[in-house]
Amino acid sequence: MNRWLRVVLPSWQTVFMLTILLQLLVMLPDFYSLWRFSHFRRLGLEPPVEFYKLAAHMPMIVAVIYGAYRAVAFNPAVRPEYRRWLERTPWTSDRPLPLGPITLVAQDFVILVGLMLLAACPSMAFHDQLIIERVVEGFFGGYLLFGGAVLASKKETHFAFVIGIGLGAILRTSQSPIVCGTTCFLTYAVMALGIRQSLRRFPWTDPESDEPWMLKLPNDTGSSVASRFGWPMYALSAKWRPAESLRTGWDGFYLSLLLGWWWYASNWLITENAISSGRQLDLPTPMLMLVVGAAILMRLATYCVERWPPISLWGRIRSRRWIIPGYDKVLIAPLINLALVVGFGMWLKNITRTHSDPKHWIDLYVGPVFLTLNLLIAFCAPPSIRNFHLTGSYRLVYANKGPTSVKVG
Amino acid sequence: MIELTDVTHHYGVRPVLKQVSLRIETGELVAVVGPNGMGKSTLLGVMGGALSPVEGSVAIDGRRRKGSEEEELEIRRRTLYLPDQPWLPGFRTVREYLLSVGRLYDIPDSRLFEHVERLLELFELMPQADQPISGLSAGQKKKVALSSALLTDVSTLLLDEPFSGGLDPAGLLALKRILRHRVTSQKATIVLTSPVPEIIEEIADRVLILRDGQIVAFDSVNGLRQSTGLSGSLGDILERLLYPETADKLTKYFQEPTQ
Repeated sequence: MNRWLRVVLPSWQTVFMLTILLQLLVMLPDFYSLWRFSHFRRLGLEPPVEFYKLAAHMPMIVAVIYGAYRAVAFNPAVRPEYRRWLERTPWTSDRPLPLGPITLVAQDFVILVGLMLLAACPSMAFHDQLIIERVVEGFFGGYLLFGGAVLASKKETHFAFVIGIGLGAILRTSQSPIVCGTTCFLTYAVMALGIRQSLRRFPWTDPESDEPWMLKLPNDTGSSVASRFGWPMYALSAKWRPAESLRTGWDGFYLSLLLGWWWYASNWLITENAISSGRQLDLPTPMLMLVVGAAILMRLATYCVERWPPISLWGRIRSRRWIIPGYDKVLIAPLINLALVVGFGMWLKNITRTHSDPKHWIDLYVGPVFLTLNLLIAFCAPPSIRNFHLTGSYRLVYANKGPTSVKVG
Repeated sequence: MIELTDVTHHYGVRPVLKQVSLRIETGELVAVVGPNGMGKSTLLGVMGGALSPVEGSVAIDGRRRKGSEEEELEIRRRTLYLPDQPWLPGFRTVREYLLSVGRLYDIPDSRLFEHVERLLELFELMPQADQPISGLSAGQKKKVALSSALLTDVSTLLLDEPFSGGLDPAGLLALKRILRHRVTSQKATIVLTSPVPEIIEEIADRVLILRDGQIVAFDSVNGLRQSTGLSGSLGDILERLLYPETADKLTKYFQEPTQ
């Protein structure tokens, strides 16, 4: 049994360390009591009820961690040394992976059932049926989230997008066990297809660091392509590629839709919980604005950090060149974003004044649409970073000097 | 061939280049000279694509710089711009860096390895070939940067102050010979800046003299002699065209103060 399970389980040292860590977390109130009153569980000072709730959720937390671990542990896409070794072997995708499977196997279900039994254990003070189901959701959530991200990094964008939609659907259907379980299973089926497709393309070529012309060296680990060539050698070469920091094109389109969908699904869950517990929920508008603000800043940084305006602001004012079309085109998208934010804020102010309780539908429907629209503009509006880099009127500067860059002269 | 049409540029308020128009033919070595801060590096930056002129346009081999993605990519494949103070990856060894640059410009490996060895030998960098660039002296770093530019097969080289930055006499000699060789036997177009008239006189086909962001003269050294009516060296011509007040200042400086 032990040997059979070893196919998927992490090493016993990892399991032991994780158990200790989680146990320490559960015993936090005891340690507090020991520090404050010099002995465990001083009479009259019971730990808050949340700690027991946390203890009851431990099997679910372990399931999330295990799911994430299963998605990446034996995946050559996230283990460079394993991948390099595998590239030198006659391995093909119709054979099992040497270190262990990425798709789920019978052993995973044994471990999952074990965790569910633990969650159902009568000694768990706050156990109920939902916590048992949360173990399943947690496992698939962790597995699909990390697995989907790995697939996205390997350019299996369509599969990653469907998995992302599935993750949102798991959140959205989490109150109905059968629908949620079916969603988990269907999303997993897509993930399994994606993994198969991805392994079929092995050995992979990464767009940025695995170009055939790239001189691959052991000391390149962690260094960006630009830093390997200095400045301005790479920035002015025909082989310049945008960094992956800003997802554009289909990636940006999918990401915008996904984030909107996740926003809706998580809001729905939060609202449901708030209604069932009889609590009043505040509008998540500030957080929404924060996300949109971050997207605007990310776009501006990607376009403008290394590409400054050809003349200074003072120069513009003095020479009355208010607008430089070749450069200022990058500011159009952020300005539209800003106008939408201001417009949305004003509309929100107006609607809360005229309607007695509009919060519920704004959170659930207007917020996600607003977010998606803004992200679509931030990620996909022209010009693309490639187009701006090649045709924009800017002054190229070396803004991302690393500690290893040396200046000549 | 490089063609500039009415190029005007300013960073702040003061114009650095004022409606500069010029044409540099294929297979020509042009040296840009002029006092400090008069637009030499800006002119090269504009040609190299690191700067975009506020007005005017640059065309290289008939393609407009930043005109379209395709035109710009084609220019980039054929052009290399090396600024006065480039940055190099300190963690890489000299050999690794040169090989990387060669790959970046699609030099076939067979030729690349052999060319890197020859350049290392020529610039006396062989003992440092497998050392990280960060440990090199200023002159050696300059040699590495120049080697990276010379390694490529590009037809247009734009070099800002290639003879400055601590190059030793052997390095200077080697660079002069290589640049002339690229022009005569490979029909490369080279534009460089240098403050040393003797070097320019030795290697340049034509000299572009800039002052206050405008072209004062653009001719061969002999052509400049004829147009100025001077028979001396390029240094004498530059003194007349660019620094007429310097002779007076020197005379004043050496004059004994009267009691």
